Amino acid sequence: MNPSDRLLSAALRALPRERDEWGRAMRAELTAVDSGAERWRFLLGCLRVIMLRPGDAWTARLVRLACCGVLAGTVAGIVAGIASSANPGQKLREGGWILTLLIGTYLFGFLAVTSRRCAATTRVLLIGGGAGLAIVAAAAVLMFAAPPVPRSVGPAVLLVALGALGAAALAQRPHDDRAAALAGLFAATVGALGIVILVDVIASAGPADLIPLVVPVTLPPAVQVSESRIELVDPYIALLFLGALVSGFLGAAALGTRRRTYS
Amino acid sequence: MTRSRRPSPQTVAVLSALAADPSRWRHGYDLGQEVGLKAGSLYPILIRLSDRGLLESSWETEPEQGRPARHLYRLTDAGLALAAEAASSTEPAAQPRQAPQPRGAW
Repeated sequence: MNPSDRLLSAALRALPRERDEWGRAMRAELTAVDSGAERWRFLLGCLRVIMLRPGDAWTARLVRLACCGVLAGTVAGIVAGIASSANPGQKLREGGWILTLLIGTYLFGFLAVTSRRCAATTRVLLIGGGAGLAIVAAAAVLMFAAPPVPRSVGPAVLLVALGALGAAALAQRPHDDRAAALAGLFAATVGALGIVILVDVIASAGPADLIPLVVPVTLPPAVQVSESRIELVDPYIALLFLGALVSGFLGAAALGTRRRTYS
Repeated sequence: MTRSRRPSPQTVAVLSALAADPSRWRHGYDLGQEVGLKAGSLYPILIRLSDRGLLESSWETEPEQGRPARHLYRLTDAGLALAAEAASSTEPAAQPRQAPQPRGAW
């Protein structure tokens, strides 16, 4: 047994039992490849199959779980904020329906793109979700590397757009427009929501040097920072709405690419 | 009842290659070479087609000397129907290529 056979045999142990036959098929096929370089290329493809597990719904379930977990955390944070305010009943009456609409739209997008009948493959979900997280990570790095947090939402929107385009380009190769649309919209949704959460966390508990002073300088420095923490999040609410809008498109696109049934 | 979806261009290429000679059993590697797909793209397509009852598989009964039996594939009747449907609604770019030209997506 040569090294590539050994490596594939070892990797195939990670395949679930119901895929044993496919594992044996790939091993047998590998032995039929005579060229050394081609054999390694074939091996790499097999390893990719083993890692991404086609037909396995676990990735979609995990992505759905993660998205719903983030949404639940967001709702809990908002509810806690309302409950601790001076007049929670009035706040809930004024903003409750908007909050419900926003969260519902995000939920719709996440549930639709991770549903079993959506055409989003494991690869599309990983590219879209990964790009969304990369957008948030890039925003965090920029904010910490060049403080304070931008007062305008413009740079964040630009970052989300670039990340979404990158995800779409990656998922589109070689020529799958449907995958590109789903990955781009998913990345934008995750990125927008993630940046809003990031800014909210920084505004609540971030170091003072990250907080841009957006209140009159006549106030004492400590008050300037505490008041600016409150004001900082406001411009980013627009990003929350933008993310919800994109999530609505994501849900519609996911429903539009549902798998058809054959008997 | 099995489920399928509007096939990707790569899946259409595999369906077309298999439908070109429906009765012939095909090896995975040779099929990948014909349609220009790497193993990482080809096997997920074969697995999904098989899961949906569109592809049947078998093992070689007389393998080459000193080599294990290889897996063989051909379309089921439902697979042939899907191939015909896909061929009628697919743009020319998605047709299988004759020269091997690796592509990197599934």
